Amino acid sequence: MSMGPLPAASPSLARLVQELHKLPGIGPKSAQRLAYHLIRLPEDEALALADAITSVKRNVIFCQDCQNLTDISPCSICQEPRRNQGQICVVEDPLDVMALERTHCYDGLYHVLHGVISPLNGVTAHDLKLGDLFKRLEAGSVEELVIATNPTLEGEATSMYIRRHLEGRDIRITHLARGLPVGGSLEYSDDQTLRRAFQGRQEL
Amino acid sequence: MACISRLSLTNFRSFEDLELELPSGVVVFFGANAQGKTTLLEGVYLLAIARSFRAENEREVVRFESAAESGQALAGGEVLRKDGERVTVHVGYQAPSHGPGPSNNGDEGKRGSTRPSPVRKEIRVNRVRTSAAGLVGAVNAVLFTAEDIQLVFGPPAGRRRYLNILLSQSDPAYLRALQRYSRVLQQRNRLLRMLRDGRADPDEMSFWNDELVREGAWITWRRHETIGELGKLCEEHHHSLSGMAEEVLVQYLPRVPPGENLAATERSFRESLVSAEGRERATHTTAVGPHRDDLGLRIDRVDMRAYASRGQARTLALALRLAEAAYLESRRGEGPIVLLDDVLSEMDLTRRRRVLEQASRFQQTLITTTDMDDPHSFFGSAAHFFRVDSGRVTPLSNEAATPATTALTNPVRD
Ligand SMILES: [Zn+2]
Repeated sequence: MSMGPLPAASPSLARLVQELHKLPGIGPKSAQRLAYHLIRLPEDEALALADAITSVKRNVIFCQDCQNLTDISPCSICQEPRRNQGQICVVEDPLDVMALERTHCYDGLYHVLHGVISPLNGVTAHDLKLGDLFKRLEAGSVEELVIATNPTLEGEATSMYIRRHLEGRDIRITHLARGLPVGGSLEYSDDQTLRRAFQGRQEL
Repeated sequence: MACISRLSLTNFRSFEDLELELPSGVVVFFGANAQGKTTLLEGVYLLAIARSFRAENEREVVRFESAAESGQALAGGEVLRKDGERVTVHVGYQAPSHGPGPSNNGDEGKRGSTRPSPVRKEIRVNRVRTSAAGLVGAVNAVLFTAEDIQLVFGPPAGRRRYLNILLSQSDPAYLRALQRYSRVLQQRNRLLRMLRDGRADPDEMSFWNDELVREGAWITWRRHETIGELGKLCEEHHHSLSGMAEEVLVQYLPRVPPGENLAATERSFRESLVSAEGRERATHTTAVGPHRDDLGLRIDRVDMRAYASRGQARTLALALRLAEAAYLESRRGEGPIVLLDDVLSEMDLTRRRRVLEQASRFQQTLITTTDMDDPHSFFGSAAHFFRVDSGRVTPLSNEAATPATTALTNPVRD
């Protein structure tokens, strides 16, 4: 099965395929498949999609406090009065906020960095929302900073950068425990996970 | 002693769907060139070290015609360990959704800017998904190839690779440190260039320095610890191969001098890094660390890397491989599977006999060859023979593997 040439007969279709192909994880074949799917959609459904894209680009902004993506600023989490104003949990991106919110086990505030330090991807500390974080901490009402970056080398680099920057400040800095996955067994865990789980062991 | 009792290859180079039961002992695959013999050893070695030894880019191993439908190329094996335990191991490559060709140039450019490796690897041990470091060590193997002579003549990278595979198979923590070190190295080199261009602050360097020192010192220390014993084994095997009592010296030539223990090595590493600062500012690449190490190889004090004859280099490379197998056996308490890829035909009779003698000490030895002049006197009467022809592998009963079968093979070598 070989891939046909782009349909040169319709420049607007070719343009759609080209735009879809720019999306992450979409190869030329999938781009074509998606384009044909869109063409077969009823007009109102296709326009609803176009409208959603336009609306997201026009309305979604960064929350002035936590830098999460939101339609209103401050966002609904930052505005909620019952949340613990003395705790900030630092995460890499908005999906992490959603994941932590689903657990219902954290009632403090968040700070979204929108990435991690990674020179290979051209990302330095200045490209992240770190300046905004340090400014928030200046205000002095924050007692604990929970660093919840991913357990990758780049996540560690970011975490270490934050800790170094806050050295000597009167803020408790904690880190999410890295342990065994629930339902996993000791036998099949790799030794790095096991070592970390052991280091992070807790009093019962 | 480990042995691989079943090998399966699916959409793997020339093999669309191979299921092969393998006996222990000496197993000989014979057939003309380009029939798939080496691919069998490549599959087994892949299950040991989690990487193809001959693919520049691992997507080469994917058989595109058939992988397009079933989605992946797969090597699988069942390993029988000394303690009677059976372990299954799998390495799969997710086929790219499209074959290579001019129509993909745009896509390549796009991927290149975001993700460098287009082929996804999936590794399983006993059906549980794991990383390369989780696989390596499950079944150990040592591979002998005709290119081994490059261990002596070739650039330092080949000798570092030799050490890395040896140490990774004897200790999975080594592979994990190595992977982390190479990622740190890439990040740090990029940061050096960003600093030159004024695109980053110098205070971002400290994390990468700390990690480079920690992982780099550990790797340096492990190499330092290993080479004494390895060198002794190499000298022993060299004596038995050459029949001469020459002095063989395998020396560690580290870029950072190790101290008397790990902590001292870390201090030494940090000092080297500080004194290299000026050079790094000029070259924008990391100047010190195990990625710059080499192995010195001397016979009667002569540097073999520069002055070996072809014969000397061949014998020394063989001795290094035999030492690798012996080292793994002593460390793991279990001998590796020995893989000989078309290396016997270029040896003289004495060496062949010595190598086969050494190899058959282990529980399983897989051999590829185009030569089948006198298989029984050559491989011993207990050897098992398989004929490999256009991607088909057929076992031969021992009676069939008589000199008459030479007619079946094409003795032309390339
Ligand atoms: Zn907010």
